[in-house]
Amino acid sequence: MRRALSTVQPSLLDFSNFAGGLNLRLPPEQLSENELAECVNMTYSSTPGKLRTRAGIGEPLADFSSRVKSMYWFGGKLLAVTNDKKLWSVALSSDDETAEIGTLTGGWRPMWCEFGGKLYIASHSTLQEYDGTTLTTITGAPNADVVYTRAGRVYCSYHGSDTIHGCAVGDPTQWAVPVSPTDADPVEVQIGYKVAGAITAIVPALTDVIVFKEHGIFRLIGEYPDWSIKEITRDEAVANHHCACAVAGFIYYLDDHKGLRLLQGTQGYEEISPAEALPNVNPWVREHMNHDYSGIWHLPARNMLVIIPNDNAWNQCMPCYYEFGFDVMPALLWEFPAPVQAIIEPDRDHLYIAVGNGVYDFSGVSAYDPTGEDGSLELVKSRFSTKRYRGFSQYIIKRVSIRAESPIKQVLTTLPCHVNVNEVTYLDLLFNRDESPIVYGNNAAVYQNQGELVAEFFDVLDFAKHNLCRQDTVQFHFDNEGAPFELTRFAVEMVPVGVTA
Amino acid sequence: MPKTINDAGAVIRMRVNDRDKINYTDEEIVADVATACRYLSQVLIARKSPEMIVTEDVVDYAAIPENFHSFVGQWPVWREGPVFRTSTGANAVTVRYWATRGQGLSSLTDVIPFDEIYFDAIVTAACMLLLNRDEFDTSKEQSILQALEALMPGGGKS
Repeated sequence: MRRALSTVQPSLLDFSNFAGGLNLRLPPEQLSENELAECVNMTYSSTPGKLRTRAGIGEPLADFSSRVKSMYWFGGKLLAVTNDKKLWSVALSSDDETAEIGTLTGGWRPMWCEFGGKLYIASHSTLQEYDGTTLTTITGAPNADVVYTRAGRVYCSYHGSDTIHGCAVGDPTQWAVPVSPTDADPVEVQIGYKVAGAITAIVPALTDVIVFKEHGIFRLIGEYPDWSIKEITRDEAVANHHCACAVAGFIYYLDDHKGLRLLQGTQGYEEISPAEALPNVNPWVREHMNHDYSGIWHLPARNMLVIIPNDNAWNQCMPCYYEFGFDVMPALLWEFPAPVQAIIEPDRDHLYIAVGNGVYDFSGVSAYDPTGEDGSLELVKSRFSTKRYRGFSQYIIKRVSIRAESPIKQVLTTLPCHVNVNEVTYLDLLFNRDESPIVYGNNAAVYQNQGELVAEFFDVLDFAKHNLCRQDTVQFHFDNEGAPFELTRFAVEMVPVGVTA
Repeated sequence: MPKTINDAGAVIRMRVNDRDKINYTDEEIVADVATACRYLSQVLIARKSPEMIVTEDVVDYAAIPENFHSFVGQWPVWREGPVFRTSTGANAVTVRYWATRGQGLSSLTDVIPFDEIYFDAIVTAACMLLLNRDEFDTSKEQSILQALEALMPGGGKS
């Protein structure tokens, strides 16, 4: 019998969709039902707004003696740069071997750029070239920490100067501007001469090249020799050369003081103005901004930006999902066993991440993270919290219904996912369920069964609980140490008490 | 085997949907079972059920027992505030009085001071109190309790 309340009718809360993502700007009681007050190590599935445990990183593909600070995918090879300036080719299977390719000229996190089938590497010293086998320092090339290509040339800039250098058309070995240059000779251009500090980052975007200086942003419009330079703003301070990226005409960048910002064109690129981005999570970004180590990575096949604002001691990064539009870009939070300095996405099926001194396969092949003692593997620990209900009344939770799927099959564990109402554990989700026949009802199963008696693993399970739980405020917390799961449905019947209808 | 409050608590938690013991504390359940016992006492006393009669020797100025309800019949003893008075001074007079039960119940291991035939009435009354605390409609429990009370010894006569 469904029991009625003497005052009000219960309301059904449906938390099946968390498309709002994290909201760290408002207190938990002011959130919408599709927003999260806390979320660690969850990601979105292919169904809009559905949360699932993020993939594990498993065992390292390669483990180095110093921090991995950059990666690049080139010619079917995964390249990694370690803190000791070494460039490595990382083994992706047991047939390969991780091999050192050479040493970079500079010690900064390098920027990479492909041109004419070769890879150009800028690491805050002389520009280098990698042809797939050999790493060569280009004689006569300028010092560079930013490199990009545009209109048949490789361009580069160096932190400390106002100049962008361009090589001769089609020839990245020629950099010296002759006395009487032709249109095909190397070029140079000063951006914001002697103002707004040095060039920090450069992003080619649509018809423009956006140049971030230490205290300002400029645009280099058109192609050589019809360049024109326009100043966009003097109030923005991009953190470093890895902190700006173009996504479908929008340019996101990390400002030292303002966190994540957005350059948005109106009427094409007629007017460009900086604006606040991701206001719901930007307080967190601002709080953790680090001038030297922060970065933005764009994962186009997954419609994601990954923001790493932290210094080199923080283990968190923030994935932002623009799949459903840039104005409603939800963000979550991932936590790894060590600081993350690079993520690279060769294609939709592959994703590699540099965590601490190792390079890991992050494409979803593992449900485990090396978070145990001495790096032993443990299932990815994840947690998230909904909005908090607070009012003049208290609340009674009457029943909860959850449908969850396990994206990775046959993960045998006895550790559940706790579903808590505030501090009270209301329900445990466990995908291994023992549904073996009752012993006394079926003697044959006991005495003639030669196989092992094990719990069966279910891919999809409905969990339901009917138990009263009265609390002053109500906030649901999922805390998972067990099998990864995707939350398909989460419904709660809840009723305020202590009120008159 | 006499039933304890723990036995009642197990049934009560099932009836009020708190099998996981996250809504009602043991203290609340003990208190409500004690209230249910005292309520049942009053019902039985109102029906003049002989099982609620207690016999005791009293002297002048003897303290009124905690469970004293009222005298059964007439005695050369009367009540003055917290004490019995008698004209026989220190010579004890045996009196019979109606006594309630349920005083001093404080723990889950305490035995319910009623025969098992009253167990369901006590459980139902305790459920009503618990559900009422959370503003549930307890009219169904009320009907069940009325039915149980009518079927209890002496119910047909009252």
